Amino acid sequence: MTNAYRAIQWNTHKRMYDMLITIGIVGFVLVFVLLSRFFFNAQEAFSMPVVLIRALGICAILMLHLILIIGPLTRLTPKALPLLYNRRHLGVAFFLVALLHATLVIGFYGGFGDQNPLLAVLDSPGGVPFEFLGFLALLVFALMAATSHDFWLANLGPSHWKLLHMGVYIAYLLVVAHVVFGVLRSETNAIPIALLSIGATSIVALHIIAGAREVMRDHRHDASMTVSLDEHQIEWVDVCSVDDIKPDRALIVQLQGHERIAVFRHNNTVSAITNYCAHQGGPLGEGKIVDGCVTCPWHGYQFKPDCGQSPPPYTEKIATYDIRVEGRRVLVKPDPNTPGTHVEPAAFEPWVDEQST
Amino acid sequence: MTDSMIEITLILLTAYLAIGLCFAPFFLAKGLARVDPISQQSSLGFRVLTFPGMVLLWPVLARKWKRA
Repeated sequence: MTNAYRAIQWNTHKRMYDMLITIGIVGFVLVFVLLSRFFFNAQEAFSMPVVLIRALGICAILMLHLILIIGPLTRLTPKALPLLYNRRHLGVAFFLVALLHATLVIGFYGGFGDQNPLLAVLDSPGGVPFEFLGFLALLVFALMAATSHDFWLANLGPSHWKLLHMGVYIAYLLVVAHVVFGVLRSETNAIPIALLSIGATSIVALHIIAGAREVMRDHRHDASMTVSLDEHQIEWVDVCSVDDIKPDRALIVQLQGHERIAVFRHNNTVSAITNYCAHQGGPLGEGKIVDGCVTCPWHGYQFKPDCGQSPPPYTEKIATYDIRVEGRRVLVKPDPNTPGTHVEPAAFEPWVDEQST
Repeated sequence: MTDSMIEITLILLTAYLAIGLCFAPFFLAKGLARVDPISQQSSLGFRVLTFPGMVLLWPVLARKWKRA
């Protein structure tokens, strides 16, 4: 959350995570180099730069696959959420590995002539210019890494920032083409292509499964809460019972033709806010109330349930909804209030056994 | 792609980045606080980390600065 920008928002967990990333990268490259020496074919000249180029390239591709599966994985299991919290650091680390790979390629293959080294590599003769495809992908990754700071999120706006970062899928296709055509040019071994196919299939399959699950959940909500709107429901819409919501948790409801609403229950009151976090559109309704604030499950951004404002000194705001309770039924108005508008939480009578606990 | 196409692409890219390299320090010194007042209290590390993005996205920032 922002009241002043910090260079890197490190905490104990993020430091640990970044250390694991560094150890993973260095360890992978070292093991790759050692194994390459061990399995070295004596008929070929062993070249350390070439081995390093391959090690860094493969390491980068593995990291890219991990980055791309984190999103759908978190939709399938909350156990993957710690990976999501730290995905930006993984993304920047991936870019640095890919940049090192490209730098070595340009230095080793293009650095010994009288031509511009970059031009010498991109201009290599014969077949599909796989180097150029890799170069284009690297440009997209550079843009993403350079705009990974919250400053860019705030100044580009969440929707434009997200759109920019969705470029990772285009860049991934460029990387796949870069690897396929690069391998086809120099290798007779089918294993690299097979491994890449498995990786690409896994990414596509996980996205489809996670998407299908979201659609099914929306249908289930629609069917169970009958929140389609007709003329009589323009003002207040009965969305659920207070007993449907676990304490300090939310129920996500989707009113026909409107955005998802998260109805939170806290201290025998209910409040309704938008389900979309002001940070990166995370699903607030899947979070919980911590220290009196709704806490986004993606990056821990917090908002007060009664007004949608982040606790001081932070300044983020989200939309609230008018809400009331009749008996034990929760009713909300379908149209959101301006972000940050205070709405008195609707109180309800706890059951007798709840009072005694 | 032909040699000349790659060469032209690289020249255009270099020119774009050169403008960004000239713009970014000037923006950090004069424009940042106007475009995003929160950044006034931010550290040198923040400025170093956001510098590459300022070089790459200088047209976006120039437009925001003009409107600020």
